Amino acid sequence: MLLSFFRLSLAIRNVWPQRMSLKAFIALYLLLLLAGMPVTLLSCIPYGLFGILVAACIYGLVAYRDTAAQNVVMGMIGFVLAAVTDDLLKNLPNMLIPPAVLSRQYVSAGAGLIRILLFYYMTLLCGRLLRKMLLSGKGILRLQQTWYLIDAALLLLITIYLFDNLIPGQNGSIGKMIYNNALHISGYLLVMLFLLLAMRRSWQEQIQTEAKKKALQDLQDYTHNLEVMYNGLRSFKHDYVNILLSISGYIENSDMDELKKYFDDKIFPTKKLLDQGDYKLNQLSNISVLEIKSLLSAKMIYAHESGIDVTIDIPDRVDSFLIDTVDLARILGIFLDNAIEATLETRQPQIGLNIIQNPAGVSIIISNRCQDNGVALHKLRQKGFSTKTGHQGIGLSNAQKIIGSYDNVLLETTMQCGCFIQHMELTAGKG
Amino acid sequence: MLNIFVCEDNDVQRQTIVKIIQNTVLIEELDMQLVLDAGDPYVLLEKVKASQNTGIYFLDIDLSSNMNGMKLAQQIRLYDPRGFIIFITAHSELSYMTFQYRVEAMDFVLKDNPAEAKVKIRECLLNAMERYTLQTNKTHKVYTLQAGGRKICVDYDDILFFETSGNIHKVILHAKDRQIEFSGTIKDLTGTLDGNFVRCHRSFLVNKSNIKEVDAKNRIIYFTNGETCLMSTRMMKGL
Repeated sequence: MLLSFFRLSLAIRNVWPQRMSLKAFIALYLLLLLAGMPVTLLSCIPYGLFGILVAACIYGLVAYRDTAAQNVVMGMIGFVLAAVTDDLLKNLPNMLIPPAVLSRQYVSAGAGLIRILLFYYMTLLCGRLLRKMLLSGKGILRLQQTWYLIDAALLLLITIYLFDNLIPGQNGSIGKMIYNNALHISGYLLVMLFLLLAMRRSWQEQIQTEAKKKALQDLQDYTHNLEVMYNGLRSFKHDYVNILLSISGYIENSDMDELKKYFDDKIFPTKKLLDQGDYKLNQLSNISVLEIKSLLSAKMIYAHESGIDVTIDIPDRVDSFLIDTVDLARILGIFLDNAIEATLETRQPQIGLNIIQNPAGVSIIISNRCQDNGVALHKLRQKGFSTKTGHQGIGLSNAQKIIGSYDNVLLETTMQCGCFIQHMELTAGKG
Repeated sequence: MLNIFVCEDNDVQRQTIVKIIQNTVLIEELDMQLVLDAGDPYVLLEKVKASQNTGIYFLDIDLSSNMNGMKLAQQIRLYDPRGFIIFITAHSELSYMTFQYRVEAMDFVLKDNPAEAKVKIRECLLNAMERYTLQTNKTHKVYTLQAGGRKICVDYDDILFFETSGNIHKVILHAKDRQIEFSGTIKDLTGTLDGNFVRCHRSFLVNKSNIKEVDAKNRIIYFTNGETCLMSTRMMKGL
């Protein structure tokens, strides 16, 4: 019995959200033992199990306050894990070793030891996986909504339990009992369904808000960039006046040689300033959809800063992109990221972005110079294929999926002469 | 015979361009003639409407008229869909691609640098001539499809196969180095193509002339560029 409680606390330790010190582990063990002792001795199973569960909950609430809620849930999972693993291992020695050998004392002790070790490693492994799934950055337990759901489910369970006990006529006919239970269970399922739907909705809303937040951030970058450009322009204006003044000085003195020298040294190089292309972003002002504008500006600023020759051409005002902006932002994000990464591998990185308003809709063309490394076009679109090592190749196939969900979005992909082009045609209505 | 049209509102620049063109035609003995050089886009458009031959158009973008070069080009396209449109401009910040997609402009001559412009104009003329002869000599059949608002022409020889997309209203054309999605269904396509195209699977329509290998056991078709598609036993007979 001591051993089984040891195993239980071991399993809980392995799934615990935080590292458990030896002292804490021993405390947990003793607590469980204390809670479980009367049960096992008095063999009052249902309430005893409840006692153990409560003990683990209390321990979780008291021991590590900051992750209390997670502790309780992970503790419960620990119980399940312990039970399942133990069940699995129980039959293992019987299967591998003949009973005659097993009955010898030292063999059975060794088998017990191996069993505990196996138990430890199995729970450790499962614990790691579970923690990664549930608690890491985007784990399920990190979502606020999951907690609401868990709370609601617990509350409902308790209500039903109480209801079940309070309701009269429980001792009546079996038919009535079945009727009652069916009523309870269906009610429970219905409420859970509504809860799930509500949770899904709130989750979607959360995603939308996050996207909006990101868009706002990008827009701020864009504004900042515009300010820098404007300041550059102002200083250029200022310089321009000075240059005019000095030229007029040379002309008044009719000093042609000096003028020529001044022109070659000082004025002609300013041409370079103009060509630098810091003001390429200004064409983005033709896009009036804020989310898209901010995304494009963020990606283009990033590309420009990475030393890519960026060309942006948006000749007309684009007021609507005809599909959901969040979806479009995802597609464009994937395409632009791919384009930037691919073109950075070449010697003269170059990216082009064209957005053209047509009578029939909007064309978005993203082109990039790429290295011709023999990757066939059709492979790029497969899920799980990536030219980058260590990447999953999910991006393009995801974009494909989103595009597939729209009837009015058509994608053309071309790879010719070291130039990779994604041409997206968004049409109004059915194209 | 190709007709050459020039539209440029600045007289001096127009004369320069015309001179370059005439010299090139003379020296290279090209089968072309300068039909009209004008500053007014409407005059040019009238002439284009009357003309029967394919033309080469050198257009300035800023035309000091209510019709700019882009609009003029779009109008010209209505009357001469196969003509060669070349823009002559000082707007270096406008990228070539927009023109290419809008009106299928052939090229783009920058007038900032006269020496370069001269070379470029000559190149354009030779290039247009070459393409024109190719077009007229070649009896290649071309498949034209409508993707969104634009028409795309693909040589029959370049088409590998058609595939149903994840979306039931869309079909993907797999060509040698491009993939084009367009609205339609495989069923509708089957009738419009020539005998080389065979339905080998519920979701594939293949071009027989581009098949490299057929793996009948695993029911896979290999194409010349390494792409593969499936075939079903029931529809295998067509191959």
